[in-house]
Amino acid sequence: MNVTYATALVLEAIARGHHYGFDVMDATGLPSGTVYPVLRRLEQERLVRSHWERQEQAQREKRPPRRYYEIQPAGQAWLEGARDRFRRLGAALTPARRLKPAGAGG
Amino acid sequence: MAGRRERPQAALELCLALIRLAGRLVPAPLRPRWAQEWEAEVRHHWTGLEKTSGLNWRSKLALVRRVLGALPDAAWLRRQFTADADLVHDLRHGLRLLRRDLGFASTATAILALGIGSAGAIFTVADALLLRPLPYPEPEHLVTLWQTGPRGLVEREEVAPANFLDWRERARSFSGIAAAVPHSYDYTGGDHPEVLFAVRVTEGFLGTMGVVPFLGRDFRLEEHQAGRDRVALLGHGLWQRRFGSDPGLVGRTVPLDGEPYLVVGILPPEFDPGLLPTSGERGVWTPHVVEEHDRFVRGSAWWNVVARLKPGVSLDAARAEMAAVASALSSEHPRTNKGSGVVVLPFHEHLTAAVRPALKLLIGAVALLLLVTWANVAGLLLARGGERERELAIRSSLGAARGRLVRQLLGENALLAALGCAFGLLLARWGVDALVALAPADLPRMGDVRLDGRAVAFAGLVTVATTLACGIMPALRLSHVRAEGALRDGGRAFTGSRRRQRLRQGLVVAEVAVALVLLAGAGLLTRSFSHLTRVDPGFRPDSVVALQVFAWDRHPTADRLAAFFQETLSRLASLPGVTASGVVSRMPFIEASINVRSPLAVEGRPVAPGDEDTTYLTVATRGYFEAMGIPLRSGRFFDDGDRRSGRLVAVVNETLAHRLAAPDPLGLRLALRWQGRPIVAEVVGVAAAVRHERLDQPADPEVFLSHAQVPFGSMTYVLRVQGDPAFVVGAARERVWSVDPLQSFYRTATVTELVARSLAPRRFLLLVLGAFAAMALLLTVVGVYGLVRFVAAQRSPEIGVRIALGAGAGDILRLVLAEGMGLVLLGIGLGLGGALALAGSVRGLLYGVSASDPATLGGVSLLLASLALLACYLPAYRAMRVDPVAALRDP
Repeated sequence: MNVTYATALVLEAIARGHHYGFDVMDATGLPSGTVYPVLRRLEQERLVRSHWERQEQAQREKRPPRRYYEIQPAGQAWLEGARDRFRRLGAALTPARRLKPAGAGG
Repeated sequence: MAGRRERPQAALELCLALIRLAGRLVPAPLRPRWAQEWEAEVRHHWTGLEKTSGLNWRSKLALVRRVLGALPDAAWLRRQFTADADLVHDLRHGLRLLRRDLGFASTATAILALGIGSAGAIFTVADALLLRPLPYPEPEHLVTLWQTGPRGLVEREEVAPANFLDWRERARSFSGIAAAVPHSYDYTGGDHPEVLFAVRVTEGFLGTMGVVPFLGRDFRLEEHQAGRDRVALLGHGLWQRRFGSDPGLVGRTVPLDGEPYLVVGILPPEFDPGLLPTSGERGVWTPHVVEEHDRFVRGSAWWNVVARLKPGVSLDAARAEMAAVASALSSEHPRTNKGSGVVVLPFHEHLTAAVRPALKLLIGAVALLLLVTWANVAGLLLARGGERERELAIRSSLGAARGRLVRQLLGENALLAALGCAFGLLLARWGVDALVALAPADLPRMGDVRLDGRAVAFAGLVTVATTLACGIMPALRLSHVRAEGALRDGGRAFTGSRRRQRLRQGLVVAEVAVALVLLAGAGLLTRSFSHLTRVDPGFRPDSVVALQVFAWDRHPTADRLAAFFQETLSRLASLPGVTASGVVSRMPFIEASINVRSPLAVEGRPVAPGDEDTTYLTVATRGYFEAMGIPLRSGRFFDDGDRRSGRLVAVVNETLAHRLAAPDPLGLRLALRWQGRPIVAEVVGVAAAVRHERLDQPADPEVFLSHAQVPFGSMTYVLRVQGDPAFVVGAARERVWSVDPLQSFYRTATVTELVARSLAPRRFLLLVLGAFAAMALLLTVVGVYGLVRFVAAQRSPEIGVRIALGAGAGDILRLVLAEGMGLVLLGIGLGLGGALALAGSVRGLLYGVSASDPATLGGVSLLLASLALLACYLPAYRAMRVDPVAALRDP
């Protein structure tokens, strides 16, 4: 997995609790056309894992369940390396609006 | 309030629609989950905005922009899934490799270009001539009608006027039926009268064809009445050439036969019905007025009939109806119509009938040539594979998947094929120009032939097939390479090369076999052609000039005709260089030959009804036989004693003499019909049988009458000359004009030209097939050479050992030659089998030689074998001189 700034930023955002695609965009300020391919690749390389939000929450909002991304141990290790390279990674992020979505993950 | 809620929902709808749209790009297996993720995010976001009252145009715009990102996301997934990214990478890699190996790249490109170019050119011609729909509305309803001649004479011929008139009256299957009658006019606007080839059409001809004039109007119904018929439509070509595309010509008159004809319109440029002889040159169209005698003429057939099927009437129904009409006519007019039927032919079939067998053969031939180029390039790729093996082995050992390697190799081949396709299209362009230039001039629709989008699409298809055909085997083969073997052997991968070599051997055998089939075809056509050129046509065509005139208009009575021809002939005879001269009504090999037929009976021999014989009737002077060089078999030709007032005499040709089945036909009295009246003529001589129209068809029965006894107006002057025949033509015209300055010439030509013209289609086919066979031969020999050189180089250590152990040069030579020639002979054997199996496809185009002619097949086998032997000898010679020390030290 190439260590690019965008990849590192997205992974950092997930590590800090921005678990959904749109939340990652909000946090990183990256456009959706960048964020999603990065998420796909991260998942392909098993640096993150995704699962679906519980049905009840979705039904309450009358929409399909959201996809929830979670960093994996390999992702943590990779992120350590990337943090070395991009010292100021954390500063680039805006604070998470909600750290953990209600009813997600478990 | 409701309205206010409607609009914000619209933004959400837009977002969801965008997602659905982008979702089309996502590979199907991933699509549901992908769409769900996006929809969930968008709806969640929307709900959030609603809850925080953040729904304003700015936030909605931001959301829509964000949703637009679904498109790159989807595209990315698609690329991942289909590995498009890899393809681009493979192509770049391939380009780098090809640049590095220019020799290989240019050879392979040239060979592929040859194959694709030839295929493209033949496709273009076949497409224009056979496949593309005719330029008429509902062309599938358009038919042509022909009559079958009375028993024994012709299979399908034009229609006699009275027959057409009866058909038109009785047939119910057609919404329109019309005839086109070949004609000519003297254009009297210049110094000397000039013949313009013309067509006279009966009512509704253009309407039946579905053609609307380019300018002006069609003929009106009343213009088909005598006295109102001085109107003309001009062909687009004539209008451009002679009248400078002047649109003001419509509404003016042009002088034809000295009369003013009102030009009422110009025909569209693409209109060439291909119905009449020299169809393309016919520039003047006038209304035909049905005259009284048209209702009686059934013995001579020269009208061309087209008809349009009524909606809902099938071809079979029309055929059945016309068969009934014909049988009614044959019982009403037994003397002329006995055994005569009607042929209803779809228009398209009529146009393509003449070219179909030849084009089919060429399509087959070009497919074989394509196979040879594929085998050749596949062989090259395999040979190159040996050098690539190390690279691939390393990549494979580093973890590249086999599929990935196959893809890469195919990518390289696609690149080669694409280059071949580009150059091939260029070749095809030239090829098409060459084919059009070489093609017989009177092929209908040949003018439409040009390289177009369809040909490019076809070339693209061939290119894809080429990529797969040339590439898949070597690619699979190479991707199999076992890393350890290839790397351990230090690049000289004996293990992998054994099977690769067998594959190459197979390819060479296939090439030889296919090339032999092509050579056999070309050989058979060559033999046929040479047989034909040696056929005795019954006359000596060299140094003979023909000038055709229609003298009726200027000399309407028999006396005046006799006087005109007598006077002109005597002036022509005194022309310097003319050694013999005469006139004839039915001139061999001329387009507008006047074929008059007559029932035939021998006085004193009763004939069973339905068993009457028919013959061609030809009017000639004595000088005609001499000028044409027609030998006399027995009796005499006409002489001065044969006068108008005396008893009629006849000379018969040998075919008829045999048909009469008399030991000596001299003295027999023949009962014939001449211009509607019964006549009796006594046979005074037998002449050699003269072939008309085609060298490959034996002569029909023919009776000659003396021009002195039955003067005739449609005649051809025939002059045997010393020196340049073309030079005499001009002088001969002047002599005729000195008798009548207004006499026009319908056609002037040397007889050699006329005969050669009849061979033009065969020559064309022979040239093209010969070129294909030559290319296949060249490629095959190169393929054999490449393989033998490769094998010899690989075996050079072994050869070194043999030489070191005392093997002589001859032993080595034999060793290497045997290697190559074994394959060549196997290929020849298979090729002979193929040639015999395909014999049927060429049989109809042969003359005087059987499709399995041993001499031809043996000859081409020998040619191929000896060239292949040469190709084997060169590398064998090199192997013979291997330095054993060097070969062993430096394996």
